[in-house]
Amino acid sequence: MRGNRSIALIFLCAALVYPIIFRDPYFLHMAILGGIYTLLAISINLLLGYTGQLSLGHAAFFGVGAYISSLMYLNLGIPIWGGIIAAVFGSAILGFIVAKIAFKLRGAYFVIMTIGIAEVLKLVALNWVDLTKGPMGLTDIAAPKIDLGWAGLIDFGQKMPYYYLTLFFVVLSVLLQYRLVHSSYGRSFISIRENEDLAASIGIDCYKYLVVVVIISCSIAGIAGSLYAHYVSFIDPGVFVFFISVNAVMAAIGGGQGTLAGPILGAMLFTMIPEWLRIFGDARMAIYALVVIFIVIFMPKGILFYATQLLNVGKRTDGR
Amino acid sequence: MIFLQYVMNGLIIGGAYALIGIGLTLIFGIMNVVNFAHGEMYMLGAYFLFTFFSKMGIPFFLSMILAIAAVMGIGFIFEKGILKPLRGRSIDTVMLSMIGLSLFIQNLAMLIWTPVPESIKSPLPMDSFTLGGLYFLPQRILVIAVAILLVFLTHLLLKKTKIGKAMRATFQNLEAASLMGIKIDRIYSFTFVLGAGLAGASGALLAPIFTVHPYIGNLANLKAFAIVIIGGLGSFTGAVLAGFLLGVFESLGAAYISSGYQDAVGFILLILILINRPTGLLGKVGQTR
Repeated sequence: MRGNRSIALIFLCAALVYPIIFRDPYFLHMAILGGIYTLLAISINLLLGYTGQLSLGHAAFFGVGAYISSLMYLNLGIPIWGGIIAAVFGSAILGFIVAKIAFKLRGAYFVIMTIGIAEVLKLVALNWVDLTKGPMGLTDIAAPKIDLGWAGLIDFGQKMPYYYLTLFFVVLSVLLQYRLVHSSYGRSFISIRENEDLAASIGIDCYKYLVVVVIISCSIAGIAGSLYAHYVSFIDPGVFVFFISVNAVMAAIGGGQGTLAGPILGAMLFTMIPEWLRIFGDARMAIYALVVIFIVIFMPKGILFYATQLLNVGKRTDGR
Repeated sequence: MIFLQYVMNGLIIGGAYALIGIGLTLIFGIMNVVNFAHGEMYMLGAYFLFTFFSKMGIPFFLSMILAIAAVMGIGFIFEKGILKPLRGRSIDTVMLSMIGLSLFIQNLAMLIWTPVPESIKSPLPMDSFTLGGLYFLPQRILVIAVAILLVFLTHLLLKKTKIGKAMRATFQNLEAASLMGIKIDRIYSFTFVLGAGLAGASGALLAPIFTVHPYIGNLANLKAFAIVIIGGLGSFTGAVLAGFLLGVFESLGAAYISSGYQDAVGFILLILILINRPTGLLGKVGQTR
């Protein structure tokens, strides 16, 4: 356990000095997007990795967070801080409704339900032109500035401050995930994943725990959406696209579902993979699909698992 | 009268929905595969018709048969190449593989046919005729006629033929069926090819009415899943019923509520079903996975 903690600290230090070493805007850009995908991957990991429920519509909660936060800023002048809080509430409420309906049944139903909700929200974003400007999208979603008086001004419109802002939320989510997984809740989640009937028989209210984990998961996705909107300063109905959901799931699985470090590793990888594949030009997405199939079939336990096995460390943090 | 016209239009599109729905429900019910690549079979059906008929100039009806046959061939390759090696893996693994496959087919289609939407000009007369005060386009009559014919043939296949009987036995109890000497591998291949062919037929039938582009499979897929869940997972009659229902409700929704939300109708029906009758219209109670 102590070993894991020092590894985590080393990685945190590396993340803290990263923008000082790599000053190139492209590296910072990829790191910020990687951070946002990490939030999504953690969000998926809580659901899939710890309770075994697959969501293929996390773009819905990501997109709702992005739209709520942007609309609050553009219409009411509320900066990202208020936007993130509103995004968390909005995504959590949506997640609560979806979970309430979908968890009457399991498996494929929840998957279809989440995909469906993302598609419907895309239609809403396209058609509710008065509010969302439809396919034109929302523009000029500025990042905040903080005036520190004599110490100067922090402009989050610049990449380096935004990197640290994203890192802050990533660390927060990792800590939240850690606390949750090592609490009685986490043990209940895992028992639901391993055998729901058995978990129910020893008095675990599976339905309640599943609803709770969806709410937490969706809140984190909402934060990711809010951070994304204020970073790129432009959003359109494309934030609900299926690819975002798939890529987040692949990050969680590819990295190592049901582990703490896996989603982080996976998110970095699946932020980079679509970029690396640019050399294939138009065939990029077809190759990406092959990577997805390969990982699902041949590395279902994730890169972290095979890496630790290779290093013969063999320590898992999820109690499996 | 105009209301009846909307209902009629909905029933016609619903026929094609029923085809794609029964394909998916058979694959799920018999093979226990959540086939996310089903919508791509629909898309391929449409594109093969485009290639055979619009590009190569093969007669329309022959092109349609060739298109369906080609989709079945591709279904056969996928079943043998991907699903068969994955037999025994968890349902989630297979589902995610099918999602990857669906992305792959979609993007391959984009490379082959370009993302530019194509339209297929039906050789049937474009003038509508009236019957009992309702307007009918010949191409739309073709859709409903072929759809009903294929639903009926599939029904006969399941009820009257030896392989149909074997499929139903596999659906009821895999182990018992294989103990009775039913070759499960053959049943699986046959089911998947049949399902792919039905989805391909649906795509080829609707292609001359709508435009064809590499991403039409996404919506078709989602609607197919809505149909299957509304009808009850694994239920043949349920899928037929839900297909027609969805067609009618979409048509009415587009006419009286908003055409922008037409594609959301299936999902709203799905939610209503999940709240009130989670096993679907004709699903067996207790069958929840």
